[in-house]
Amino acid sequence: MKEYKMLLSVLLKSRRNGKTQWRKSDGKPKIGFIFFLSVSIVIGVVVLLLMGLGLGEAAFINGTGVEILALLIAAVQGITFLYGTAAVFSVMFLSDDNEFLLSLPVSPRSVYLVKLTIVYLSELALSAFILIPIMTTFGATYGGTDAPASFFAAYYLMMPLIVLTAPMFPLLIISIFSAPLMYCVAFFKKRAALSGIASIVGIVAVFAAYYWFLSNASGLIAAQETDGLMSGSTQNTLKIMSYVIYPLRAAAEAALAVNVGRGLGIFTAFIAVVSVLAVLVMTKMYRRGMAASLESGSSIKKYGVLTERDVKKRSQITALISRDFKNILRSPALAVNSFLCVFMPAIMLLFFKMSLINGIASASAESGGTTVSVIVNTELVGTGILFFVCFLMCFPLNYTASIAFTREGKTFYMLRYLPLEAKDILKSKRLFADIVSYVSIVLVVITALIAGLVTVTAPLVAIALVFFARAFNSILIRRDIKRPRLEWNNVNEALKGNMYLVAPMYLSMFAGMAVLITAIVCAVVAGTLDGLGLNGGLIAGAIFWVLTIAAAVVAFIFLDLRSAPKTISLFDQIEENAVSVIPLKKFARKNKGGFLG
Amino acid sequence: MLSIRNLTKIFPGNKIAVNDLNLEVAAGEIFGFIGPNGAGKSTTIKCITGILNFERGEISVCGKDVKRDSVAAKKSIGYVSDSHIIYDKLTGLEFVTFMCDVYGVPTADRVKKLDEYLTMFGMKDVAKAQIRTYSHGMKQKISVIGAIIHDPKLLILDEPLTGLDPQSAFQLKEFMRSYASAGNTVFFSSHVLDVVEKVCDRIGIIDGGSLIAACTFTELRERGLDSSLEELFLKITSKDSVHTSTASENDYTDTNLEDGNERI
Repeated sequence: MKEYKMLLSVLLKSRRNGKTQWRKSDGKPKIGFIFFLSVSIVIGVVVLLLMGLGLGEAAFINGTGVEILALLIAAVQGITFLYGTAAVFSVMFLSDDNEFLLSLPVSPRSVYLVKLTIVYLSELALSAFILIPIMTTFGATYGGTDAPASFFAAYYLMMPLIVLTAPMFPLLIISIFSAPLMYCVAFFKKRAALSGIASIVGIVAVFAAYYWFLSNASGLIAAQETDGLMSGSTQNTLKIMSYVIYPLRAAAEAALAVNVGRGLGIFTAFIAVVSVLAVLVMTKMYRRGMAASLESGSSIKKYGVLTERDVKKRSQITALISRDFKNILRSPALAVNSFLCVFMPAIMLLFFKMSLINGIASASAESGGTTVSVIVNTELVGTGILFFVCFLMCFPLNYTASIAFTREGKTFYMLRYLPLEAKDILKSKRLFADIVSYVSIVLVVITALIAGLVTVTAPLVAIALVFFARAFNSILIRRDIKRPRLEWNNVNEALKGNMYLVAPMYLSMFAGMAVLITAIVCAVVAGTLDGLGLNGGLIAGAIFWVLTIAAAVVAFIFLDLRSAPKTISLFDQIEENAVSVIPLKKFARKNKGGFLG
Repeated sequence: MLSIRNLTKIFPGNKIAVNDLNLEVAAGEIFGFIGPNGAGKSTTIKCITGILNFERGEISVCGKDVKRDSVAAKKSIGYVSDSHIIYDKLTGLEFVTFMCDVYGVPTADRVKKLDEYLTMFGMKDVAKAQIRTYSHGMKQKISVIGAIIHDPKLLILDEPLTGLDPQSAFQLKEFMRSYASAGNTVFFSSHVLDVVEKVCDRIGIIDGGSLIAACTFTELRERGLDSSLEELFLKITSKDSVHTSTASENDYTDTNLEDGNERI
């Protein structure tokens, strides 16, 4: 325990030291940034509170409180599972401090528990952010005015336990499976690029399965719901699904005062058993797993006779991009984070296609007590959703742009001494990010064409997305260059809690929603005009495309073209502005222009 | 070849890392830059190579100003860092090819030079392995190959002998000698005073951010200083001794500096 406390204290301090994102380079608080983040958090909390209200009401009407609460916890655990996998591997096995920790006279169990605690704390922040607001309103709505005080007492006492334990189960499971997986490290270490590709394929497959599950579940409920009432078969399906995750069902039963003692007993016993199992397994295997990750076992190709083809000349920019690409592909955690944005928009588009678009195509609206059918233009709705998923999953998640300089880490100094113009370095970073975005755009547009979401407007979609991608990549690189994190021991440290990555996500989400709402409004207008005998699709489509292309071009001009010179001048100050360093006020003022001066 | 005038570097917190440093290093020279830990050696080197900005002063390499004409100046420099942190996900061959691309080495020269240097440093067998699998010494050697592949006029090595096995250290010293003989300049920092004494034509001693000695061994001997470099180093960098020795050995002290230290 003493070892655990000591190690935890040291590792937490080393992660925290000097890393402030709330202050400008002159040490003053960043009011705008703090305000923007606060507003974003408030909006997020309000949305989650409303979601809890809706779910609570549905659960109350249908008497499916236990099932819905259990599935809600499972969904949050699913998110932890998706995001925690990379964190577990990078913090526990692929961290630079492992070598040092292995040399210390401390037990592997303590190191394992400390590393797991670090991952747990970072994942807890996300799951608590989602669960606390939803569960708060869910309980209040589900209990209603008739529930006895004992119900609310049980529910709100059980809530902290559920919130605190929600990330534990997925992380313990990941860590148990990670140990045998680290034995594969010897194989993958010899094939670093293959391990990167395998990681991307694995994560994409898991995401695809997760969205498939969600779209089926939501589709099932939506298709059979009438006036808020679920059919018997829907309720049965929910019940079966909740039994699959029985310990969570037990927690939900305890929280909703259905069976407090039994539910609490089963849930805590389950967590205890998994914890003990994880500690027992990892006590035996963690040290070997860590050691395996440190072993050098790269396969060496025979040198043979060196030919000009082996050392073919490339331009500086091509050489920089090639180096960046190899560096990412040969670092699995970095590869997953960097290239997920290539595949995710296409997967998410299919999810929306399966769960939402068919319902939107013929929406119903109440008018003077009678229900009238509103015909909407499905191509415009499909286009709007296509833009929305790109704004959600492609632009802000393009880590080749958002950690363009952060990922250089301690090797950043090389870019300073090599005879390279700052503009060429930036050009290489932006080109690389653009290529990644373009591949993502091609995939998502092809998916939309195959799914029948867009037809003749596909080229317009692609053009607008390219403009938006350029604008976003430029702004992401600029944000990173302003305050990069150059001191990190594993990729997780560079990414987790990096508010510079979070803010663009919100910005992008709002922009995406604006395009989606515009598309839906235009789609409804098109349907109405069609009903009047006019060519609604053409008129509303023209309005939508003029607005969208104009927005894309404006974003491109202001965020890309006009900000480029300012970004170049920021290159000189990278090290002084790195988040671990707060420079002198006068020094920050002095370095405003030129490559060095 | 290398000219430093009034170089001053201030770190955040008003810490003066280098204070008004002046230095000239000529072509064909091997210049040893020595000083205690935290004296300002690496900071000076980082200012010369363009890694760090500096507040005051001028640095020029082959007549090219490091601030105003940075790319041209950097093209004349080959640099090996003391951190040994390089792009370790690349193979040795990929790393050196990358350096060739950045420095614009013609394709025809690459094959010949790579073969020569990889053989010289015994790196042929591991050239196609990723650098992360290299030992400390191997990383050092591939860094050196990357730094010299474009035939720089000024080769800057920060603690180059750290981690090298005796054979590699010998090879590197021989290489430095032959490289300087070809009219190039080698500027290196080291804590191994024996090596500095054997290899260098001239030395500079830095302490507390100020250059307190810059002269040849012949000059030292001509001025009647017969002690070893180690004794001299300890004498000069120990502040009490500096004042004692400069007072009694005024004949070889030529310039008084602002902070009370003196230049030989």
